[in-house]
Amino acid sequence: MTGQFVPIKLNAEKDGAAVAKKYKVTGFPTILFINGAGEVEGKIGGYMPPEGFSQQLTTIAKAHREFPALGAKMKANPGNSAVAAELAGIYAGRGNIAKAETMLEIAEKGDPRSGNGALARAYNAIADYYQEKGQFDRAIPIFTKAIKAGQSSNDIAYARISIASCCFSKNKPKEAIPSLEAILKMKDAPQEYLDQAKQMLDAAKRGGGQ
Amino acid sequence: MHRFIPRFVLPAAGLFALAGSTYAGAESIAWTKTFDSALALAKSSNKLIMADFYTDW
Repeated sequence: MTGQFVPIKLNAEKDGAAVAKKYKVTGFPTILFINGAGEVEGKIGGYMPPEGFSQQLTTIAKAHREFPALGAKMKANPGNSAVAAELAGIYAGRGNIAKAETMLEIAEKGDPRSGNGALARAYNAIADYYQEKGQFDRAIPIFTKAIKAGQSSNDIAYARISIASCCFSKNKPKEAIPSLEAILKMKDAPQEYLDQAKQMLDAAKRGGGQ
Repeated sequence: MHRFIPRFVLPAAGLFALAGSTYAGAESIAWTKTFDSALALAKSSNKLIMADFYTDW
């Protein structure tokens, strides 16, 4: 997996200070995925469970590989909703929210089932963007759309745990309870999300933030 | 996609090391020395730089 990347450690207080400043990295630890042109294609910030982390690596590497071909397909057929959904997810991951929203509009015109769950992943990626910006009330309805469009238990559980996470961030842990209970009722939710949901549900019922 | 479930999980930096040991097998990660050389390598190999920003505090 790491063979797909060029790894570098940068101490933001020492030799890596200039690069950290250039890319406006202010929270630590942060991992940025940067292409040969110096553009950021992905970011992992703060805290993440191991499975989510390796999934992220796979998603980012895949987006990097497929982006040129997807762009070409979009040019050839600007109304291709399935390709638009894939691109919406990639642009959101890159922080280019304007392009992500444009692609999402095209994607929403198509059959939500045609893209093999790409629409749900696009919703999740765009909602992630708003969640990371602290715009939780904007993120939650988009995660809700991801639940509706979702075709895999992974994408649906992800959206639900994210809604719960937004509620915690808003200091309204009790509002997280329905989403967490919904995860625990899923027959095929990934174990990682089940474990997280249990922990968060306990915390939410205690009424504390954490 | 990003997950932020603070205090329920391990720091990403630790996991980065973990992921390295898991995915690179017994080999240690060949950390690139400077950002400029990482950029050049990323360009020539069409790979992404995985830049782990950290602090000592």
